[in-house]
Amino acid sequence: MPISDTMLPRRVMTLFILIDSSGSMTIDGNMGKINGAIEELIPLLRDISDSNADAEIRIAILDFSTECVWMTNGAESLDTFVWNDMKAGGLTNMGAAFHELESKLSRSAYLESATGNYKPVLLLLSDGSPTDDYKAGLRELSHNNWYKNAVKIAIAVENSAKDMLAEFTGSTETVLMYDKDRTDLQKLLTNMVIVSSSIVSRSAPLADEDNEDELDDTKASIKTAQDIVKQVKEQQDGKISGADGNNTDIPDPDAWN
Amino acid sequence: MSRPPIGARIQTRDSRQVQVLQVLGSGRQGTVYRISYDGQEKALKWYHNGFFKNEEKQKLFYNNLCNNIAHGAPSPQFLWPQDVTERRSGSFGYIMDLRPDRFFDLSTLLVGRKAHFKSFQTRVDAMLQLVSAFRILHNQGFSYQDLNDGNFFFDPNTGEILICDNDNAAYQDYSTGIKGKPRYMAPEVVINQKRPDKTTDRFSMAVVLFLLLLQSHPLEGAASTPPCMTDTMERRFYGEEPIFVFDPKDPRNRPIRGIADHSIDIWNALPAYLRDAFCRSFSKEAMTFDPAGQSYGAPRLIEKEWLDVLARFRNSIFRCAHCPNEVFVQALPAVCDNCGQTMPIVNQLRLAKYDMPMFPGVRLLRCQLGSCSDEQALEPVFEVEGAASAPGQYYLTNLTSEIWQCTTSKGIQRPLAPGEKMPVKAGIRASLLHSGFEII
Repeated sequence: MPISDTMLPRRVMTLFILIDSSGSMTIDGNMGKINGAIEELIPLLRDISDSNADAEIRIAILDFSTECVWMTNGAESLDTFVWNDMKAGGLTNMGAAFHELESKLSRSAYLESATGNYKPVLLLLSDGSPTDDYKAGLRELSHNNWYKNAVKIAIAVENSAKDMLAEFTGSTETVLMYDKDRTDLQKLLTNMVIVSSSIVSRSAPLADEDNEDELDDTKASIKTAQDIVKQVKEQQDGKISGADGNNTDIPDPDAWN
Repeated sequence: MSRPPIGARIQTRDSRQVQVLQVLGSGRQGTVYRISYDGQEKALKWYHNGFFKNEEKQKLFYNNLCNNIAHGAPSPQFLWPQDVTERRSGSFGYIMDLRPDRFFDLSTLLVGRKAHFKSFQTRVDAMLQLVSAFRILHNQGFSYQDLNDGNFFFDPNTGEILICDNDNAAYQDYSTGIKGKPRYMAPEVVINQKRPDKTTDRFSMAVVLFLLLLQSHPLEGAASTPPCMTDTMERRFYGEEPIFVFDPKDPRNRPIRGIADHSIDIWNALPAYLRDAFCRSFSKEAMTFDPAGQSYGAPRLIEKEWLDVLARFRNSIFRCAHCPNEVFVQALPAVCDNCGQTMPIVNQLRLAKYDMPMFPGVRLLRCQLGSCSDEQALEPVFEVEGAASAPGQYYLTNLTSEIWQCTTSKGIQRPLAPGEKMPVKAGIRASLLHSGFEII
């Protein structure tokens, strides 16, 4: 049976990351941390993708401030993706970013795949305070079926951004607050991406007897998003280990003698 | 608080000493460490506090784990829990052997980018190992319940298997609370008609076998590749209306040309008895469960049936000497389907149910001679070899511990002791292991 190099057909799981690079993101060196996170994520995600027989992971990153620019060439494979650092400065035209995202959430744009797609993951990272009509952008997105079915999560770099970002994700439970006293933004973003990319393939528990009817698709996506945020929070709180297996808290040695 | 830091000292349930040395990996369920245990290096899987829904579920899981430890590993192919730790900070862990570096997880091997199986023959050896291990597990009264590509590790050069995550293995179908993984769960489990058990394990096993050999998924084709896989569609394609990609009666879900051509080519090259085995495992009837009658439309293949089919197939894979192609020999004379050369195969082995070509690398397995215990199934009876100095002349070695009673074509009796060799020559008959064969 002659056989040349064959690739296992896999559905595509695209991770969209929308990153706020407005002027306020220079505070606390946040922009640098985000750049560091993305750069270091590339080999990690490639490894996850190469070990995942269910899904090929692709990534699409949108840099938005006054203008918006895609940092990737479409929804890019981790093999070809090279990161160029983003620079912070300018306004927070989130509405324009939503409009741009909406235009790419389409089979004829970034979601073209002969093997089909899993629900995309949309991760929005921002300190809030949009400077344009973001609600118009959200209205456009709300008509897009990919957006409706997507797993939507956000990282709020400022507490005040929580409610606004929850308008994008659908619920405050799917917005993770960045608490700079407890964790590092680079680690948080890294964990969020790693957990999101692993979510598509994992064993499910049996439904409880007293139960849980099957969720409709949108609710199922919200539940997945909640699971992601919960898992990242647990990592942040030191209950479980992060991407590198190390605890973020210092454990009490006396409790372990 | 949480999990053990490096250097932590923990006690086991019966007061043995464990020291945490290094983190090996971390997942949703827990973290795996290298530890020292009573002076030896072992692995420890420590459950995250968030993994158990409540105290009661944790207790049930813990009890199942202790029962499994008491039972012991069904066979050396299982990386089985050996001991359990005390409860600490609301959780606990179990101890098992370390996994040698030469093993890769099945998911990675299926993708084939970081590591891949050496050959078709190695894939089939891996399939035999998987089936044999599950026969042993099921015969000892366990069901695995979460059979998927994250739980198996193979050596891609030899096909040897190591089965991990045995904390979900349950005696007498005791429920560990795990449903399974999408794409591997039996349809009746997907739609909540049934909890995981031995029969649902067999579906998942058939999926893994198909993936290993055909290198695509048995239920994913033209009719089950929507632009976006939602939960509703997942339930439909893997639960309510699954259609086998090569269903002889329903062509709607064939593999998609352009992305699964290799699967179509391999399928067409397979012998009919192997295609038939897959068709029976994934027939509409075998995938339909009637909760009222607690019965299936048709039975799924059991492990013994897979062993018979796979052992026969394994011994028909011949490596062409002129090009690196592996030929699936079905009849003689055999011709390479890549370079067209005729293969130097003259003799066959006549067994009770079929004839098997004889060439270097053929390894007759115990299960091919008839009934045997599950631990003996993959024991080699003989292996055929050739000598560079005499091309085309093959011989075989008695790899059993029994003396064979052989008769030559002229009727002369010749015993063959363990380790002794005999030529592959037409007319020789052998009696062994309450069975026998003839070379033709």
